[in-house]
Amino acid sequence: MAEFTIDAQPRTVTGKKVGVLRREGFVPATVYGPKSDPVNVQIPYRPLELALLKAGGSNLIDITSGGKKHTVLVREVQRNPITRKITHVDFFELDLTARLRTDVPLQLVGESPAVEARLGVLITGPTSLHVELLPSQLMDHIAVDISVLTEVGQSIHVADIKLEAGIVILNDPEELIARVSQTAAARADEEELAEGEEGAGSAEPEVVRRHKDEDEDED
Amino acid sequence: MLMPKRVKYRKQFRGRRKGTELRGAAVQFGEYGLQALEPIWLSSRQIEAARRAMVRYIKRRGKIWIRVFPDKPVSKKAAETRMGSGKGSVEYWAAVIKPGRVLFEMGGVDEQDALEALRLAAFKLPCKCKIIRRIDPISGQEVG
Repeated sequence: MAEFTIDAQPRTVTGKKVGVLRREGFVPATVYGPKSDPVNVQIPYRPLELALLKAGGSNLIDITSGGKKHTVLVREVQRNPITRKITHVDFFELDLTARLRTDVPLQLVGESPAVEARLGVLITGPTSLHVELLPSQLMDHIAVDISVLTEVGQSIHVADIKLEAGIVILNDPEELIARVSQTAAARADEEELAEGEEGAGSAEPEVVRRHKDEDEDED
Repeated sequence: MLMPKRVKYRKQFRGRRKGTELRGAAVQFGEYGLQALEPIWLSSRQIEAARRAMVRYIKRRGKIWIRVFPDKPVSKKAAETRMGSGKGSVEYWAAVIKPGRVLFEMGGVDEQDALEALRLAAFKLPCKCKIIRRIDPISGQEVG
């Protein structure tokens, strides 16, 4: 059923010893779901990297391990904060008849006339939306047209996004998706700075429990 | 310069800076970020100097996010003081940085300007830094 496939091997190495696997070119991963027991697997690095690049977090992937096939979604990818190499992946095995909750990436399409005219700066919010849907309704991304932002101060919120029937967005409806903001922030910062410098020498933060300390000193 | 408004205790122990940053290590708000590659104490002066370098370069375009806050009081004894008689007075405020931490982010400017502004900011910092782009946490693809 799924468009993407990954060949995995069953994994017996767990805990801190998985470092050995990583040095051998494998990524430790785990497959779990509401109707199955968790399975530890290991996947060669490069095929996994390519599959994640194409499938993202909102496309189904078939994982074959030890003769068994699991239809999964990528739930979490752990990366080294500096090298950004993948260190571990969580796969969520789906019940194809039940509704599921997942993150679908947002894609801003078009150009805002206000930003093109350099009247403002486009401030964007989250890169994905948390939605509840059926596995058959999964999509690559949610497209948001920002060409409606014609003036500075205009914004698009979660409530403005319309999706097909049956898909529920779980984010706060008031959450900001995109806004055209004034570019005078830098000037305001400079003013703040000038004010800050005047008082910087003598300023000292208030100690929350200072009065108690003083009481003790007196004793 | 940045410093806390209220603190629970006036002075702190030095602590240790082991390991890498696991949180605050990805670009969250803008399109580009400056990532620290070494463990350091980043003083409020250094943060301010880097911020100024960026603001000066990008003029009034774009937006800058400062992702670190100097909440650690660093004390120092006065010059030519004999040892003892308690801990010195607070000299400056610092942010404790571990490798991987995103220090600044920038958005709403051209790629060329953003990279140059972050490069200039990196000169004001006491550690090796790397300019990074925002990526999708799952696919690893560059976003924006």
